[in-house]
Amino acid sequence: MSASAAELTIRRGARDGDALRRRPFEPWLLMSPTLALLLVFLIGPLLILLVYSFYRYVPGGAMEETFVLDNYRKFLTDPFNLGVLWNTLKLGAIVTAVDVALGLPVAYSLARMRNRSVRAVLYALLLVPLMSSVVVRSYGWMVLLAPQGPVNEALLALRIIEQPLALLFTPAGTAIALSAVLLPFMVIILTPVIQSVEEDLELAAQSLGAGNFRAFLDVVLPLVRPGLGAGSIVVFVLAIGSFATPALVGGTSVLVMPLYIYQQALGQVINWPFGSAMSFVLLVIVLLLVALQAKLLERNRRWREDA
Amino acid sequence: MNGLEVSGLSKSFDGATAVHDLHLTAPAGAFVALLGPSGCGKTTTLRLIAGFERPDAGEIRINGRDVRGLPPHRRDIGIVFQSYALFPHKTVFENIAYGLVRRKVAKPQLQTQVRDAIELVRLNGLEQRYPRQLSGGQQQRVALARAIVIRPSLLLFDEPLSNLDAKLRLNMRGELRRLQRHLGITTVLVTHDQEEALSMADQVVVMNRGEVEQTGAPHEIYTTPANLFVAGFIGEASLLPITVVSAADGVVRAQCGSTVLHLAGSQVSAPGTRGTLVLRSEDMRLVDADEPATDAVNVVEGLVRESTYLGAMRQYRVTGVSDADVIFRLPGNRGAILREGQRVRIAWPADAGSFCPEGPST
Repeated sequence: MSASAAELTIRRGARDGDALRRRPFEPWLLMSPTLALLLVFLIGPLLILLVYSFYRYVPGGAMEETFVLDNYRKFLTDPFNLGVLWNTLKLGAIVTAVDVALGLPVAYSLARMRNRSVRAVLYALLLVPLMSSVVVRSYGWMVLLAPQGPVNEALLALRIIEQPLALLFTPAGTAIALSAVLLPFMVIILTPVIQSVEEDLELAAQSLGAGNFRAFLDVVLPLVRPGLGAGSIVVFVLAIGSFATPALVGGTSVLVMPLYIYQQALGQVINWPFGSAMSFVLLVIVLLLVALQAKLLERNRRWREDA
Repeated sequence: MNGLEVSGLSKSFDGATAVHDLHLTAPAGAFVALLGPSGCGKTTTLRLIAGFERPDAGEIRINGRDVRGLPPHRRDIGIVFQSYALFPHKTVFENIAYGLVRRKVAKPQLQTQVRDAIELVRLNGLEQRYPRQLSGGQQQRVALARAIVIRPSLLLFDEPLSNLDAKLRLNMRGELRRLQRHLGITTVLVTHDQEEALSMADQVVVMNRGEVEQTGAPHEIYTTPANLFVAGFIGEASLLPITVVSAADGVVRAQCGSTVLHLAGSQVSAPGTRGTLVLRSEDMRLVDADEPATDAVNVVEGLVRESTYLGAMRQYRVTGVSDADVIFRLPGNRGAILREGQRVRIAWPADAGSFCPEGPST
């Protein structure tokens, strides 16, 4: 481009109301409706909850506006409360592990599928459960896991078991149902990440002496670690925050934090300060996990940077 | 036999034939180029040899060993991919060492071998870099070192130079060739670039629509193309449709439009034979108006229709000889420059060019 042409472009830009200079602000402009929404309906209520968590509970449902650490102390010193937290985190960890183990092969197969129309159909099937309510899906699992439900009937018919397994209203049944309910999230997050790993890399590893599985371990797995981290965080957070599935499938056998918070703040007791404090404990744990995950990814940084 | 033997290889995808009844022999240490336009089946052939695809029929032997049914990692091959396919999370050293690690080579020996390979491709000092931090040419060398460090029975190059810029590509051609000779590893190169194939390979296999059109040494492919496809694909050629009218005393007369041409007798004989005379630009020269045609020299007259400057050469398209165009080149910066629309006389010896018994391509 000649100098005069360049000049012309610049001058035209200036005449069009400084389009170039205004560009840095555009992203903010584009995000502003969402940001406003988040500020009013997420950050705002959270701040209110944070304030509540330092209030003092007055039996009967009232609150005394003050600044005390009673609620946090109550939660963190009572073995029962910590037990609920521990069960919640354990459920989240189990569900996440199951979904990694089940989701990775599914996502890999989808990502490497050559027939695009078959892949599209399978992908759609994966999304179908997300179109129905989580209550409906959990109810479906209640039917499946019942003592005379299809799962037990099948296992009995195959003579794998002699007595129906107690699955409904147990922690195990809850973990099974929750893993199934959250599996699509894992697969949806992992599939494009695996797709972004060039297939030639696997072929190269194979040509150099790695079998299929070895090539997957050496090449695909390290490269999809960020996606695996993201998928795990999403599934874990959804698992420890889930309400309907533990309530329906777990019944009274499974008391997890969301159910406990509901009981304390909105159920029999109406202790808002305590419920708020518990919410914040859970939130802080999630944030710490996200930070840990970011820290772990930091190690990948070196080879991702250009010279 | 040592080297590569492929026979009767066929592969189709969803009913579309990719490779049909392909035969290919590369003696140990030979450098064979599979050359053809995109979609001709050359890459499929390479993937079949590597074991990334399963053939519908046919046999592949590497150093006498039938590799049908062997997965890629048991075939003892080294591949340089078009995309290089370097492991982005591994350093240059780790990339090159990977094949040795998989072969469970002991550490001291591994380090020596990797260092030798790095030396061979002149990447010294870059061992701890990651692929992202290298230039295209350097990445290419890493891919090469990674493939040769395992001393494979067979090296496969899939368009290895097509992502490099023109200057670097020329340098790498020579370097790849030298390295291949030095190591003596049987090599198959897949390329769509005829210059690459002609300059690097001992043997060129020209492919089209899944089939081999011609196999031969580079100069054979160039000077005596087996058919019109090869003639048209390799180099710039003038294709003149001719009909043989008489053959006597070693001189063949053939009608080309309204002109009678002379051909060396060894090529064709039977009168009435129709075909195409394939002429290379370097067979032709510009002649003065008073130079006559003889039994040994053909002279045709035509109109310069198009002139293209190519740097070292200037290429002219001349019409007026039958329906076909004659393409010839003159040094670009010295001597006469022809104008478009100018009448010229072009001559070539009767024994130049080659005869294809086919009509002009449709």
